[in-house]
Amino acid sequence: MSEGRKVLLVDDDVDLVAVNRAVLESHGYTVCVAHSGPAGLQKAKAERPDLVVLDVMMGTNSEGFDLARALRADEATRGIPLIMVTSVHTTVPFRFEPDPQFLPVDRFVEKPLPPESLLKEVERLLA
Amino acid sequence: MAERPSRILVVDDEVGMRDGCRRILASEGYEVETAEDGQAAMEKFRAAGGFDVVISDLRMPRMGGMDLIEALRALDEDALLLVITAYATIDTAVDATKRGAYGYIPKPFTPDELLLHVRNGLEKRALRIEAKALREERERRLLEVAFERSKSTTILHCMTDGVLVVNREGRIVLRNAALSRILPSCSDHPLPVPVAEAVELPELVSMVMEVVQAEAQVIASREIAIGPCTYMVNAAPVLEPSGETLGAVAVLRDITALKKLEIAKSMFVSMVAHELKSPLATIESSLDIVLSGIAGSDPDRDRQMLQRARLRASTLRTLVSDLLNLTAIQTGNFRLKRQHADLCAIVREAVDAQSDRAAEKRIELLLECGDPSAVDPILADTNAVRSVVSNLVDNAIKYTPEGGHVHVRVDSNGLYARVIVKDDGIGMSPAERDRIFDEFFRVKNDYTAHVPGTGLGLTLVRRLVDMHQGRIEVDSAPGKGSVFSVSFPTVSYATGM
Repeated sequence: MSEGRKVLLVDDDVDLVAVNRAVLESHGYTVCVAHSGPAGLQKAKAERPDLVVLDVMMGTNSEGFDLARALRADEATRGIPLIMVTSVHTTVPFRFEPDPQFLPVDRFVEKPLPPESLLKEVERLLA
Repeated sequence: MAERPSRILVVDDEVGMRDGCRRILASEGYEVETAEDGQAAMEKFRAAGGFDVVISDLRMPRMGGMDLIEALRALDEDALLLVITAYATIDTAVDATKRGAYGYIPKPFTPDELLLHVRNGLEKRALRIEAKALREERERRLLEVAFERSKSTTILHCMTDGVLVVNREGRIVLRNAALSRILPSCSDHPLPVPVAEAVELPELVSMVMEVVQAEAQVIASREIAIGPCTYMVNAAPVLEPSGETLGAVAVLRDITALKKLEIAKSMFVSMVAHELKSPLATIESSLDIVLSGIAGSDPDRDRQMLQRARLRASTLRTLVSDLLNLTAIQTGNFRLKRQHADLCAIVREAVDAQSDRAAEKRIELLLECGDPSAVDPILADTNAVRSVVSNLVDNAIKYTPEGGHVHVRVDSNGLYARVIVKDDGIGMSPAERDRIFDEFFRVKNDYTAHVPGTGLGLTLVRRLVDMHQGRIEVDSAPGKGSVFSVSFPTVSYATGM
């Protein structure tokens, strides 16, 4: 159930964030947003969301990964499930499967992600 | 035989001998001169430019026959010398011959004897001269051949492409200096050597062997990596006129630079595709939200989505247009129409075009031109300059929050005319400033996330400024705004007047 569930969306593409936000909110989720890695970390610590969806590549090639690692490193945010949105052009270091060491995320999904698919992924992880 | 009559010099201190010989020889058609001793003979010899035959007595005052022989030999090694003397002995005969005399006629002698000796001597001399000429010609020809061969060899070794030739059995019979540089281990082996032994590249070996062993004539082409470099290798058969295969020749050309260019190009294409894909996906999603109703129906929100999609699409169109311009510049297809231009007028146009946008954000947009006549005309393409200024003013407005200020100023110093765009917006860090001219680079932070842009604007600006031999400078600090200065050469500076 989505009641009271909070999702944090981190992506530098404001329009995409707005689209995803609209979909999630219309299905009962509370949504907060950030447009960069550092801002995302701050928001996560402040809002304690139930799930974070982050884009892999924001300002720099590693900004998404850096955020994921930072979230795992911090006690306050360690337990929050992470969905990472990648694109075909992303060079994923060493693995394609989530890996606690290098890729501390719960799920990889590929861009472009239709909003319905995002919804499904979110529901699945929060179930 | 000789076209001109042979010339004979008779040297004898006895006048009777001289006249007698002269009569005999002249009647045979020879040209005859006489001298009474060695010294006179030398003078006559030099003055006449040589004689075909010199007939000389031995015992004469001033210079005797023996000395004359030696002296004449020194002058002309082909000179034919006949000695006549009453005091004939074996010793003198041997001595005279040693010194270079051809023949020896003891006095008295009959006219026939004299003539016989002279005729034989002349024949011999003619043969000798002809043999000498032939020898010289052969030497010249040999020299030419050697030069040709050494010319070819020199050319081969000066080539920058590596050349390798193998015979029918696959043994290397020729390699040039370039090949030894490309494959240093190969040059350790003296030729001939089986190619598989000397060349440690299985690909190259199999290529060459394939060509040599093929039934029909085969030409092979392949890219082969050798260490950090890439080579284009072409191998062809070496054929005899009859069509039989004698061997194979492989030429190695360094295409490393070309390969790097290819890679850079495909990376660029990759980047472009990525830059286009994301916005298009977002536009699609935005439209989907409104069309599918998956997010419920909220007219205000839907309207906002559509407006955003439209803005995004417009930015995308600018991106494509910028890309086309950049490519045109890169491939040299972008033509500038340089003319005398008034920088003030151009800047004014560009600033006026942006005044509404500035007003929307309540930004103060000011232009300071001063006395237009004080600003020297520049030699430039008007559209290009306008594009540059528009871009800078556009950026200044974009990156300055509401209520800020953008000041534009134009001045000149005789050499350059300059436009300065100053804003009190968000500014940049040194790291960001270093990258702002890079393709697709955009400063990413919470403020700029809401600012549409392609990341190509300043890239284009820089290219256009470079094409005008102008200069662009940036001064900026985070939170303190930015100052962009662009200078264009004035007409007088550009044309050197």
